[in-house]
Amino acid sequence: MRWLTAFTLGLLTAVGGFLDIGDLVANAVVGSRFGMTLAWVMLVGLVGLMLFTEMSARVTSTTGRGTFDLVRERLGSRVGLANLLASYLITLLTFAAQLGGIALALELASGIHYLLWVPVAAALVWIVLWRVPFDRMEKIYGFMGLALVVFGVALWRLGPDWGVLLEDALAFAPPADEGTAVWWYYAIALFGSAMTPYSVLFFSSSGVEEKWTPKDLATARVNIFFGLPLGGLLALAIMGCAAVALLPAGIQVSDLGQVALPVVSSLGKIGVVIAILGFFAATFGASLESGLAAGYAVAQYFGWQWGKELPPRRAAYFQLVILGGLLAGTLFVLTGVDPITVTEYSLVLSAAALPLTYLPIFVVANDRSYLGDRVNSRFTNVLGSVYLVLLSAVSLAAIPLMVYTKAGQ
Amino acid sequence: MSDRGDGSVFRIGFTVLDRQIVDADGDNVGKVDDVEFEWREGEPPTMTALVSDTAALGPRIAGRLGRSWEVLLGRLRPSDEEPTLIRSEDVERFAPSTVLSIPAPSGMRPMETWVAEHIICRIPGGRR
Repeated sequence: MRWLTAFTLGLLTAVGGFLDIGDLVANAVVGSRFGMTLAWVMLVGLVGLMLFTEMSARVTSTTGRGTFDLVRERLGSRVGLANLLASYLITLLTFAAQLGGIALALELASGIHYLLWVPVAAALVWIVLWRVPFDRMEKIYGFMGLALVVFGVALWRLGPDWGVLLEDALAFAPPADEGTAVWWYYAIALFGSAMTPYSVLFFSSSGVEEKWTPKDLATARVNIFFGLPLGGLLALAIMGCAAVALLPAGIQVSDLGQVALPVVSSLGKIGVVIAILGFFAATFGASLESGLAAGYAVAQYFGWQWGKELPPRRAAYFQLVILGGLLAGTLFVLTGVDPITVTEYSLVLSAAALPLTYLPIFVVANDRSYLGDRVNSRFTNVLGSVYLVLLSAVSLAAIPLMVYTKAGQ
Repeated sequence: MSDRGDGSVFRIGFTVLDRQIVDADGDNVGKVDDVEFEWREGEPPTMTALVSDTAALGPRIAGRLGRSWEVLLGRLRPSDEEPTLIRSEDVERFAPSTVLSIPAPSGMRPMETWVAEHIICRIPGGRR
C-alpha cells in the first residue's frame, strides 16, 4: 500500500495536466473529430510536462522555494508582474471552468440543472481548501481520479481494431474531411491542456507545503515518472473511446454527457456511474489545484507567508486571495457562460502563455547558486531547449490560429 | 560592500532587489521591493536599508501604472505609519534568499494584520 500512496501527489497533478474539465472535453472532441491522429500531441505534452515538472521538483527540494517565488527574482519586478497577471487570470479562468465542470458532473448524476449546482460545488471546494489537511486532500482526490480507468476498460470492451488505431496515430495528418488549420488548432489546444502551467505551479508549491528536502527528490521523481504518465494514458483512453464509438457514428462532442457515451454503450449503467464519479473527482481535484495555484502565484510574487498547512491567520493575504478567486470564479460561472466554451478558450490562452512559466523554471534549474551540482544535465538541457523553441512556436501560433479557424469550427 | 573577497562584483540589482526576505525563524517577511542609500559628502554611497513595501514597487514599475500603483497601495497603509525598513546590518546573507539575523519587524503589513483579525479569524475554523 505504501508504494501506492507514494505517488498520489503525482496522480493529483496528473489530473490537472491530463484529466481536468478542459482535458476531458478536449480529448473527447479530438477523438470524435480526428480519431487518433492527434495522439502524438499527448506524448509530446507528457514528455514536456515530466521534463519541466522534474526541473521544478529539483529546484523545490533543493531550495525549499516554489516556482513563482523565483520568477520575480529572475525576471525582475516588471516582467514578473506581467507574468503574474497573465498566469493568474488564466488560472482563474481555468478554475472557473473546473467549478462549472463539477456542476456539470453533478447535473449528469442528478438531472438537476448545473447552475443550481455551482454554489454547492463552490462551497464543497471551499470546505476542502479551508479544512482538509494537504496530504489527505492529495490522497482522496488522487485516488478518486483513478475512477476514470473506466474509460480504459470501456475501450478494451469496445474491442477496436488496435492496428487501425495505431495506424491513425502514426499518420500525422488530419482525416480526409477535416482541414489542416483546424487540426493544428486542436493540436495546440491539446498541447496547452497537457502542459497547463497551473499543474507545475501546484506541484512545486506542494513540495514546499510538504517540506521537501533533497532526500525527497526520489519520491518526487516517482510521482512525476509514474503519476503523470498514468494520467496521460487515461486521457488517451478517453480519446480512443471517442475515436472508436463516436467518430463512426458522426457524433461530435459538445457536452460532458457525450464524453461518457462510449462508456454507456460498452459498460452500461455501472460504467456510467463510475465515469461520473471520475468526472466529479477529476474536476474537483483540478479545482483544488487551480484554486491553490492562483493563491500560490500571487503570494509568492509578493513574498507573503503562504501555505495551506499554515494556520489561516498566519497567512491572511494568501487565504484572502484564494477566497477572492473562489468568489470571482463562482460569479463568473453563475453568469451562465457555457463552462465548456470557457474551458476551450482557457486551453488556448494557456497555450499562448506557456513560455512565461517554463522559461524561468529552465533558467533557475541551470543556476548553480541555487542548485549546486543538481543543475540540469546536458541531456535535460538539450531536450529542454528543444521544448522551449516548441513552446514559443505554440505560443505565437495559438491566438492567430484561434482567430483563423474561428476557434476550431 | 562593492567587491567581495573572491573578486566577484556585488550587484544590487541582481543580488538584492526582488529577493525573498526570510526572517531568523524562517518565516517569509516579504520581497526586497526597493533599497535605501545614504550619500555623505566625499564618500561613495552605501546601501543602508532594504524596503519591503508593495507600494514602493510603484516607481520601479514606472509610467502611469507605476504611479497609480504607488498612490493606491500607499493609501492602504495607515497615514501615521511609515513603511518598515530593514537595516543592512540585520541581513545575514543576501543570496539565494535574503536571510535576516532578527525576527520579522512587527507591523510590516498593517493591512494583513487587519485582514487576519477581521476577516480570516471570523470565519469558522479560522483561529486554528
